Amino acid sequence: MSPATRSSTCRRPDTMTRETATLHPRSRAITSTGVAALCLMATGLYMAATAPDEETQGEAARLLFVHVPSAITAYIALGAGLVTAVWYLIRRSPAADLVSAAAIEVGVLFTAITLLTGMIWGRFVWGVWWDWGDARMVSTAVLFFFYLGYLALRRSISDPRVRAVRCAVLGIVGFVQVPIVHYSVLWFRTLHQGPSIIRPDLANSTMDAAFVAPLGAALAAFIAILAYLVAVRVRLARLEAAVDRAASTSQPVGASVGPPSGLSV
Amino acid sequence: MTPSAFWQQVRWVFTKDLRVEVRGGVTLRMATPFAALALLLAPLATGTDTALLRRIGPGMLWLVVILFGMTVTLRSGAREPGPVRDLLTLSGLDPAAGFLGRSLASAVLLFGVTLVLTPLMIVLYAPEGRPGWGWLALLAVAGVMALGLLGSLVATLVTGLRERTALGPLLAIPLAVPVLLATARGTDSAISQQGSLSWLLLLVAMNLALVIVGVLLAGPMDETTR
Repeated sequence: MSPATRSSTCRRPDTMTRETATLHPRSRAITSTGVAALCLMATGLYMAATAPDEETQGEAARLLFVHVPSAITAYIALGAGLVTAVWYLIRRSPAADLVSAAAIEVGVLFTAITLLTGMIWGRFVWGVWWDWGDARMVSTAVLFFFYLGYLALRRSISDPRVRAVRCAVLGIVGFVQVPIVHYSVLWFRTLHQGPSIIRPDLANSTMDAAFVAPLGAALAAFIAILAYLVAVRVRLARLEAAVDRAASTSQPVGASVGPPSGLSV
Repeated sequence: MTPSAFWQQVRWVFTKDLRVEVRGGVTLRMATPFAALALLLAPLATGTDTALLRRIGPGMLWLVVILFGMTVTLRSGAREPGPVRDLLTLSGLDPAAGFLGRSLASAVLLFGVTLVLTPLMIVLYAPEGRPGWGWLALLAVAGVMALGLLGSLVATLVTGLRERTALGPLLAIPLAVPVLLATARGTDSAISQQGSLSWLLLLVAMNLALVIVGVLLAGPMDETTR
């Protein structure tokens, strides 16, 4: 191969096109968020482990440092999915659709963690894995299955524009279940305790100060994890879109990246 | 578009859908007998304890109406097939009028299913007390209207998808849980001669919310089915 030919086909990574570079899954902001999430998680775990024993529940109460923050984080993620879905319908911005889908996907993960930790806690404290008298448990399960349907709908539609519009509509309609889950403990006679942090009367938290600090640290960690996962998922969705675009134009993905320089073919 | 022209369009779509159903007869000849069969078979699964059956009768009725009725609404509430859809679009059909017309037609079909199943449930499960027919009728109307609106909304979202028969119920049934709670508990209260006003109000609120959401989002949803 002549030097001229080699120089045109074997380009160094720093000569990659701007598009390929922006799609690279590592960026300083995402990495920083990930590191911050790890640090916060370590702090939260330490504070949860060193928190005093709860008087009646004993060690099982420590599960609440995962259960409660994961529930609040799920609300935040699904709320972000709602806001960005509305934003998409107003502005038709593809980025809003990607963020909405990513937020809801991560929200489903946190809803699953909430359900799972709630069931384990229930087994220790109530003696059963599942209690039909607990309105919040049942409504959370319904919410979880609905959003599984959202994810299934997203995977079923190949046209990006149709997918974005239909999923935005569903994201808006489905969010009505989130306040139902939260207020179910007030609307129905239920085994689950009432809200102790986000109280409808906006009164102060009923939780002891010794538990508020570790819970706050765990919540901060979960929110940082949420931000990191959403950012990574949005980046991944952009890469998927690039693959789809490349496939539709028959241009091989990474065509602009050649073998390392100095490699003779 | 004037309000009278809008409601004229709603009436056209409503009449068209009902006429198609009368000619096809799928709801009457297939879905309703299938739902009745489910009511008949449920006691074989739960055990034929009379006291238990008396208690679960109203709930079973609405569970069957929702599960089987959803298949009816997802089918009848779906956007029309290609040529009919194109014709309606060219005729200048308002998407919101189309949505309301399809929802009303689905609700009428579901009301028919409920009319057949309610006496059957009373005969088979013999719930205690004398039914308050006024409350039962109001609950049935509000319940089937909510299911019709919900079914049309979801049917539009899954229009044209290969997986729509599995995906439609997965999306619609979790959203129908408040309807199940309100109609089942409300019917229970009506049969035991207690008022069902709070459950009826819940259904009315849900209907209002679904009408607002459906009318506002009918345009964007309609453009994805063209």
